[in-house]
Amino acid sequence: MSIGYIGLNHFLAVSAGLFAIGIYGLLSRRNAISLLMSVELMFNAANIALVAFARFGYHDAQPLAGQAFALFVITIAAAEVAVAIAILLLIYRLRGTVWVDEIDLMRW
Amino acid sequence: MMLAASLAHFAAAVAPLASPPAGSTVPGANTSAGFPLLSLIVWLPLAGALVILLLPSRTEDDWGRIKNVALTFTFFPFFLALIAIYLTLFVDLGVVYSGGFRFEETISWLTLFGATYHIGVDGISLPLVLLSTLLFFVATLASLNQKTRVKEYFFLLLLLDVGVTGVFTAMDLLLFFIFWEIELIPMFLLILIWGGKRRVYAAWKFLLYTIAASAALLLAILILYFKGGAHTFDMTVLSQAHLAPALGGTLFWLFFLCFAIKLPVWPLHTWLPDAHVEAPTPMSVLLAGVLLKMGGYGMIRICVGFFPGAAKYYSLAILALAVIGILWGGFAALAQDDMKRMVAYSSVSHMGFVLLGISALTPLALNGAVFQLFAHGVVTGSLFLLVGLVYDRTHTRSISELGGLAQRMPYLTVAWVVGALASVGLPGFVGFIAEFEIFVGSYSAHHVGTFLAVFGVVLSAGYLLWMLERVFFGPLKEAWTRLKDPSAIELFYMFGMLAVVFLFGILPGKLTQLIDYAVAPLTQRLGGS
Amino acid sequence: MPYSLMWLILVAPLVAFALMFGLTYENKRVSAWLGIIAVAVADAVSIAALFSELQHPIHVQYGLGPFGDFLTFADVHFSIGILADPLSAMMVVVVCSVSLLVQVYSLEYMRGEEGFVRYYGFISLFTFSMLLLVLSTNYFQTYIGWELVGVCSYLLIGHYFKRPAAAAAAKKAFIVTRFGDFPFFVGIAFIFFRFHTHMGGAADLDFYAISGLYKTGLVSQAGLFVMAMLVFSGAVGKSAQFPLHVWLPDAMEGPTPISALIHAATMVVAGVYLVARTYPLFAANPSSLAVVASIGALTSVMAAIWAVAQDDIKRVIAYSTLSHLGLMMFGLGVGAYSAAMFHLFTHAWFKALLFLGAGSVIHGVHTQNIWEMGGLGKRMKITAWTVGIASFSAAGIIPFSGFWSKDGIMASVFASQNPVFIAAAVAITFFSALYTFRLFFVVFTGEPARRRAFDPKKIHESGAYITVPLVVLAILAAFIGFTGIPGSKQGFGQFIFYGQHPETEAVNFIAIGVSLVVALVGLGVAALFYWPRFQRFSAPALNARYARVYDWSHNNGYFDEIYQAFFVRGLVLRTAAAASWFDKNIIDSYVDGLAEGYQLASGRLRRLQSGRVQGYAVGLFAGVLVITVLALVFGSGGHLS
Repeated sequence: MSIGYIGLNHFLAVSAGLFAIGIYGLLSRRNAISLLMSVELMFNAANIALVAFARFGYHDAQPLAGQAFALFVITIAAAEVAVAIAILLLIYRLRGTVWVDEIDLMRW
Repeated sequence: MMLAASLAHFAAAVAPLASPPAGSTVPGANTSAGFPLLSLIVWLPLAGALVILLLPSRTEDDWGRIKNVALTFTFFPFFLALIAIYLTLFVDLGVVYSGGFRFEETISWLTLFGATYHIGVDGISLPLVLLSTLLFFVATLASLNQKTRVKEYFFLLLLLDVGVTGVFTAMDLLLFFIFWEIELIPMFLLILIWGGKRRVYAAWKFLLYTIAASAALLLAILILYFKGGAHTFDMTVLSQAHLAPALGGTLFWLFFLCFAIKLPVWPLHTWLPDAHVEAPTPMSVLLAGVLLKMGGYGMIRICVGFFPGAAKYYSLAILALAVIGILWGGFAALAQDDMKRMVAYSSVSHMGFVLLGISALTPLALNGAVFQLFAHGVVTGSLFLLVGLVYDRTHTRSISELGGLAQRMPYLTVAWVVGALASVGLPGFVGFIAEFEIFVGSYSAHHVGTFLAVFGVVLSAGYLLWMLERVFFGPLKEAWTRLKDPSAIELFYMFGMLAVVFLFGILPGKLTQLIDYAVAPLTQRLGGS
Repeated sequence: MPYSLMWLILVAPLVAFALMFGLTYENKRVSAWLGIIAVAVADAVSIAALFSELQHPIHVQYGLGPFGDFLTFADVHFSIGILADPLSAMMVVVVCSVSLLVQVYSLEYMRGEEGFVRYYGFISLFTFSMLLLVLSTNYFQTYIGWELVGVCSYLLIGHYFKRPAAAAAAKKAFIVTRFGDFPFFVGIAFIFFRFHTHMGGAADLDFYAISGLYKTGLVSQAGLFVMAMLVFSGAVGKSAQFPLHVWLPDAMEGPTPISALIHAATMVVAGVYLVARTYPLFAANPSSLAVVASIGALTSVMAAIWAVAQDDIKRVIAYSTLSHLGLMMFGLGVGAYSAAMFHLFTHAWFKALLFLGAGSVIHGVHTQNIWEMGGLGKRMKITAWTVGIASFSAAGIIPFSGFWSKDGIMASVFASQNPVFIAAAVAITFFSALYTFRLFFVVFTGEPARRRAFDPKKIHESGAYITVPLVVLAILAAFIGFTGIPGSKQGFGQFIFYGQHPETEAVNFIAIGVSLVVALVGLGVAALFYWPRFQRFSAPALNARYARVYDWSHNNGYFDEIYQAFFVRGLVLRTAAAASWFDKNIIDSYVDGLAEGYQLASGRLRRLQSGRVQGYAVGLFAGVLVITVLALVFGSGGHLS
């Protein structure tokens, strides 16, 4: 593996790194906005992996499937963030906080 | 460009899951030709339900409009069912005789799974379609004085209608299952919201029992789908599937468990008295008149129709359940003080007759079992209406508190006497034909069992006439001196129902022939195996 | 040929019933006359049919229009039709005539009563149902008629439904007879099962088609016995034979004309008629005939003894009816087919007359207790004379009709040479004469009782609507017996018989002599106790001395009490309570327990639902991790790469 060539594994490594950061953020941060950002990181990690697989030809029959999925994911992520922030806004108005350990509306 | 092509490709891959490609047909199945009579019968109530959703429900006028919509959308299916009966009985009876179904409609649906939207009726289901559309119309008439949550009530009533008529017409097991489930939630809510004092307990009991039945049904359907070898849900195909006897037996009992809860069969019957007693009057009518019939219909159509060998093999076990149910229900009815509870237990006893017919498997007995489904529907439906009419006026159903009502309510008394005698199985009424067919038919298969079962007829005379004596005859109790006879509209549906009870009692010939055209192929298969 | 018109016999009363309830319910006069005219039409047709049969005794039967194929599909064929043969022709005349007379009688008797049109409507319905039963061509139709007459009986016994006793009696009659009906139903199923495939083109269960099949060996002797007993059970219930006799005395709660029509002349003889109609079945199995004879004899003797100790005028006659029904069964059992049918025929007239006469008395004095009557003969001459004729006939005294028919049965009993049967027959004859004349003497002779319910001066004979039927019936009761004088060549026995056309039998003078002497002794004893002019003994003193016997007899052998205590309360109601208890406490406790168990478990499990997002996230990732590891360890690696 020469230094000048960037292969699939590099992409996957970046993807894994991003994903790990996302997990760490999701589990450790208490601010809901941070959680959302962490989730976005994980989405993007998945996107990178999808596009990478597509680029390196892991689906011969449908060469663009990976990119197509990534586009779907981006769209859905955008919608999801919009909804999530709307909810957060309402929760903030109600409870005056966006700290997730102070929000347990769904407790049994 | 690449992306667009890929998207199109992706869409094509998932397409079969969502909607059928235009023009595709299932090989071997008839496509529907002409007027979609059955679909209209099944789906018109849903259209009505959607219309009701759009209507306001604030004033009395709004309520009136909702009730009119509900009446319209339950009357037309009934009218169409009458047309279907007329066409079948008087125009071309022979078509049914070919062993096939009538008014079939086939539309591709989930081709990937081999499920189609396939509906049709034969001699077993057509009487039940007529029965259910009639009873839904009558139940709507009986609901006209509903004053709480009118919109929701009639919405659920119409939704229930879709489920029930769907079950009787579905010829695809997946469709059958879906309709079976559609029926469940509306009835649960109707009991839970509009019921009597113990409605919460009764509604949950009903729901849990029926959910358990559904679980058994789904499991059985899936096993049949994967092991049946055909990978189809089409009932006409599956009924001919050749299964290993052990597998057939297992499936038979799984299906039987589901339908036994619905019928109900002893000892799975205790949800029934609670549900009937707590449900509002029109819902009791539908529960007894139509919903129990789904159990009997399923037993005949699936347990006997799919697994004739197993049905024959386990005939004695079923006979035992039937006889216990008949006697148990009869004795328990004798001990009740609540009129509605008594009628509910009489249902347990009378549905035992259906099971007796099924256990005997002779042409006459099976014919009687189907006839009894119809007969019990109209007779017990009438009885629940009559209990409701007494309750509306006295606000009690306790037999010991009532007394001498005949002196204040002569018309209601006449209707009660006629209804009770019909339930006792008096000749001239529809119940007699069914009982005669069942007992005479089942004697050929089970001598002693039939003898014990016929004793149930004595019991039914016992509890019904004893109740009549205590409630209507004898001196009038002081509390009831101000009662009035039912109103014109109540008299209309009350005597209308009794007229049906009488009509098929003196002219049963055509109906039994129609039933025989569907039952004869069944019994021929029984003779072969 | 009147046979093709015989459908009118059925249709006329049915139309009258429908019109009364549908159109003329508010108009009493029109409704009543509608009923009378309808049954008169039916009566005219049936008399024509009877005369036709008398000239040429033949068997004609046909399906009743669309009902001929009442229930027909595949290979089953249940039919409703009309059967004309000597037996049914005789029966339709009895039913229509008694119904006609009773309806005329009721014009006065029921005048002003509540539910007048309902009463007439149900009589018409009853007449239709009874005729349906009598004209039946097969077991299926018979069972339909059987149940319908039962329900009419229920409705008419309960006519005064405000009285608890009437409502209870109606229910009791229906349910007790159902105990007989359900084995009968099973019997029909048995017959269908055995003979269905041998009907040879006839409708299923057809009497005439099956009559030849019993002896062909299709059914074993044991099978035939069971079959006969199942059918006989129906007859036991309907004809109130032991042990189902308890409903008939209570049925007297109905209006008196109803007692005459239904509970004396027509419906209660349906059981006897059934046994006669299915006689080939019984004849094929001698032991079943022995049972019929024994049950008949037992019922007859017991009822005759009980009748002597009754105080209610209608109950005396009711027990008399029981006794005579038992006698008819007895006759059938010992093979006196013609004589039993002849007794059915004569009994219809004199028993209807007794009841209608009793009704005339009750109408006058407004009490049913015979000890509150007395001396009525002077004031109600027509009633007294006609009841007198009926009494002579019922007691079996020459030359009244009951004598001739009873004599035929006696001859067969004597011919059987069974000492128990002969003793029973003698006892029946003695007690019949005793209770019949006890009633007559106490009610009509002597002076009005001291403890009386009426003012003797105001008592007068009933009106013409009552007396005319009485006189007509009296003429019949007096003279109809001459149609069956033993030894005659053109008599009843040559018209209705079983098997081969009978030769003229030698007259059994011993039987005639014994029965006549015993009846006269009974009459004499009655006179010595109850006719004031000849009274030598005191009945109350005798009753006091044999108090136990008297109480037993007065209380109808305590059957009601025993049934009530052991059967109804002890067995049925207790079983009912047990079943209900079991549902509530055993089955439901399991069901509810299951539900509670789930509730408990879910109460614990829901603690996992902390509401903290990150807690869930930890669980999620831990789960993914575990699954990944498992897949790596156990999965075939190829798929993952």
